[in-house]
Amino acid sequence: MPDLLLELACEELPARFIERALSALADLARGGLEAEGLAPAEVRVGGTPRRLALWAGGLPERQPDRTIEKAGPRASAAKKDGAWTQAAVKFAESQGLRPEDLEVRAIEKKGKTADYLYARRHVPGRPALEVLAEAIPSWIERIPFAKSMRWVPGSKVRFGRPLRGIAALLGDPDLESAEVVPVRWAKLAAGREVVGHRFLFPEPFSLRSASWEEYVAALRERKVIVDPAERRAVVEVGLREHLGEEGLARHRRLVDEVTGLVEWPVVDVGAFDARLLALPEIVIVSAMTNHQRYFPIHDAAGKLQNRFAYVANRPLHPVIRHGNERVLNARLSDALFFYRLDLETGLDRRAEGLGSIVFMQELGSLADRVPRVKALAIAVAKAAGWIPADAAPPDSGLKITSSRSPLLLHLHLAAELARADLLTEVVGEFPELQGEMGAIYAREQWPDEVAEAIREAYLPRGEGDALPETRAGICLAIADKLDTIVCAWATGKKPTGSGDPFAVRRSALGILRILRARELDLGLRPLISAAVDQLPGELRREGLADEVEAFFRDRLRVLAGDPRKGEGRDKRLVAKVLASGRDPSNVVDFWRRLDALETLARDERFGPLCELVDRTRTITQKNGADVDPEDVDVSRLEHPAEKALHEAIAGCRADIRAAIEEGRYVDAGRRYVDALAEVTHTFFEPAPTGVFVMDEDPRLRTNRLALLKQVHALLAEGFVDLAATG
Amino acid sequence: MAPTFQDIILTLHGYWSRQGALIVMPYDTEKGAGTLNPHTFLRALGPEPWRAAYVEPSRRPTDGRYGKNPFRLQHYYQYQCVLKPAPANAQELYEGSLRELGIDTALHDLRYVEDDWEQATFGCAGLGWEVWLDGMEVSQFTYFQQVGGLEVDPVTFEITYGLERIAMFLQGVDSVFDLAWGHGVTYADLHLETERQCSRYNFEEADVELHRRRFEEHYGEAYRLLSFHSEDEKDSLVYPAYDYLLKASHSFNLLHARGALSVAQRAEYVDRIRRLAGTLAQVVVRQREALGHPLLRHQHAEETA
Repeated sequence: MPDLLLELACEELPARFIERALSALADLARGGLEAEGLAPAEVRVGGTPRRLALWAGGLPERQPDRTIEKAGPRASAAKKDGAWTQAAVKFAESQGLRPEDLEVRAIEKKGKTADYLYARRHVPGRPALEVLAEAIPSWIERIPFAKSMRWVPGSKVRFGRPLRGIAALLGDPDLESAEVVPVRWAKLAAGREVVGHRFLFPEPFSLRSASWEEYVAALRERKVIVDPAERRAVVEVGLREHLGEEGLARHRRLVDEVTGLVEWPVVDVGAFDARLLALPEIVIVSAMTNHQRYFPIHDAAGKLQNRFAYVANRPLHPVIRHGNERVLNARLSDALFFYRLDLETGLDRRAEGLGSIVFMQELGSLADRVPRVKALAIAVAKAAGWIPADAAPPDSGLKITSSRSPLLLHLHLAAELARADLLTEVVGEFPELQGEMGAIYAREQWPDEVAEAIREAYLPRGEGDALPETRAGICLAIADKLDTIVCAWATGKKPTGSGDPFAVRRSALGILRILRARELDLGLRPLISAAVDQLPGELRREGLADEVEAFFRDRLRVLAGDPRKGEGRDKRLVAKVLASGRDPSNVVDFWRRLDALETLARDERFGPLCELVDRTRTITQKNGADVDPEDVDVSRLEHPAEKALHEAIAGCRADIRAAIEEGRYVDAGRRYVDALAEVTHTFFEPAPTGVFVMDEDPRLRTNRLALLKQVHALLAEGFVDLAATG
Repeated sequence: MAPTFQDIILTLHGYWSRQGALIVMPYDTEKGAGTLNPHTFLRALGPEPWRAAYVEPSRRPTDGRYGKNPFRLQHYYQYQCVLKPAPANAQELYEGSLRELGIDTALHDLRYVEDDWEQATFGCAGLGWEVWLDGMEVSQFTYFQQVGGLEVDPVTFEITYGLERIAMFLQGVDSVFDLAWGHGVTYADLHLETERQCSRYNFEEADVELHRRRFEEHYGEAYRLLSFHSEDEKDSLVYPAYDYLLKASHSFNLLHARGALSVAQRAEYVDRIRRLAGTLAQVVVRQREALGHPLLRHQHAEETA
């Protein structure tokens, strides 16, 4: 039972590619071997930026013999005038047989049985070596990479980075001389040579056996740890000593990345000039983690130290630590210089420069934007009931005045100062600190609430990011995003399949998440209209607010129903809820209604009732578009089933309306199902039990159509349109 | 004795010349990177083999810091080496050049970290790395996949050395302005005042209307020279057209530095340059074909030998 060892040696793969490529390679090999009748007893993989390795143990020496059977053309078409027809000859050839070797069998196809030509062919199993040489290239080709490239002249082969060598060996575990599997791919021929660490053991060496242990050990001697889990463990053990468990947990993703950047991880600690601790912690941490892949070190009390941990790709040497320290010192000194310059300048002075940054051509500068965002933020606060409806912002510039509503003052100041940090030097160097720096600088001159709002205005930056928590931050975050969305829409830069230059989708999603998490029970529509109304005249147009509202509804549909981008709730229910609502643009109410509908859907009477409501809509849309649902003439109710339906509606209508009005949606739905499930069902039974709606008598017909419209409307007005399908 | 700035250039010239590269000259038009030198951009197109190395003065107006930042410059020097087709030992060749400069690769921690490259304005894209030397980014590596919007085959391999970074590493100085250029003259002697004045010009004084006008004029000229090809492609003046496209691109960079462009406008300018660069690339490919790909004779000669 031989083993297979395969190593794909490549130029440095991006760290994020490695694990996915390895698990795919394992699956491809397992699947490929099984399909060829060479199922392995065990499969192992390991890899580094420079190699993807696979071991499949306990393969059969050769494939089992197989009989391949295949049906061909009809037997009736096999011969003409006693000679084999073209069709028969071709079929036989395709199976590697002579026509006289074919059999005739009765076969059932599409429910009919007929005689067909039938080939049975004995295929002797081939040696594993031969099969592998053919199969392995197809595994290599199908390894997925987030991005792949071409490098072989005149060839279309692709890989994550150029493949430079293939080692492929097949041999018994106890034998020292495994055979090379003659794989050829990307103008490479497989051999038995492997290299160690790029700089410490660059000389190729020959593998003698296909043993995984020997492969791993030979590389370990040459400063390569093949197993990613082992490398991660080395990194973690080294870092834990300096970062503690908590620090380590905070930098999980960086640990993953660093593990994928090295073959021989060695953790070391360096120091930087303690005077640089005068920088805000967030700047230091960002310089370390985002720019240098270093790990910040805190003391037991949580205070940032002037030390950092880093992971080298080789045994340590003083020059390496010295080099890394120099880089960080230089970066941080640079940052400190800029930080001091920013403090000296003051955020208010920076805000004066907002007029020089173009927001959108048709909409002027970021300074022109300030009053729009401010007005919207105040509108949000009013809609949330946080400030009185008649409150007007102070006209105090950037001075702190007393105000009967502190929130109003904070919103005013934060709106004036938000984004001023775009003009600061530190944000110029560390764009990822937008908002954070604004808050730090604002704290020098203004209340904390203003600083927090400036920071939170950017939130959430993306999926999974934190949401604003302070009232001022919430209002400003929503206002800032809504203005961007409406402006992008007004200037024709709405998102399309190929692009979303102003990140309008992300902004909309951010607003929806904030509204829900902070339970802001308000309609978006008036805010959208307000945003549209304050656009310059030439950009305002009929229907713009409707389009933006529809866009939000569509985003809400994705957020609730999409299993990848959202919560993956039942799409049919989402569509029914989206189609209704006292205020369809009230996001909090949407979720309440969706939750209620999910509860109701567990009732077994619910599904059938939905179908019946759908029938009411179909019938009334087709035949009763003009019928007024209130137009029921009680005196003309004849059939017992229609009388029962009318009574049931009359009996529950007031309760349901009240429940919807008060937001008790589950109550409304239960009442509806209890009152109507049975009578509606009976109504739709075939006559005489049920009612024939399209009666010849127009008055009877109108009556019945009106009744059915009522059945539909009871919940559709304000809660859920059971007939909607999205 | 650490090498001076000019020693480094001379060493790299010597090394790459020995690797079969032509030592060619920087191009006399402002540009943001050595890639836009026709020795790279135009030679990366088509099947002809090419190996060249050169220093490219590069201008990135937005990177200016008035000479106050020890790393950032609005004008700096790239050392550029292009190898086409990309050899299988490209990384080893690069590492050889570092050793030649006196960097012991068996002592330091040299790393290739994913960094794909895109030059949207000229329709170029490639995959590669930035190279870290004990944590400092010193070079950029790219396997071109697209040039002027065209998929390229054979693939060109490009190494861009940040000359200032490498010199700082070798000389052990913390500011670019402290670098010894040669013969007792420092980088500051040559460039501190140019950085101050040009930063001020780029950010404060550049005449926005002048550059808008210049963009349109240069772009228009490039367009005109390329539109000859609608009649007879052989008549298209692609090389002068490329000059004007570079000039238009520089005006665009200056407008950007002045904050005179909105996001949408920027996208529009980029799009216009890219489309013209795409047309230009296609015409260049066909013109070289019509000329019978003269440089292929080297490949044939090598193959016969």
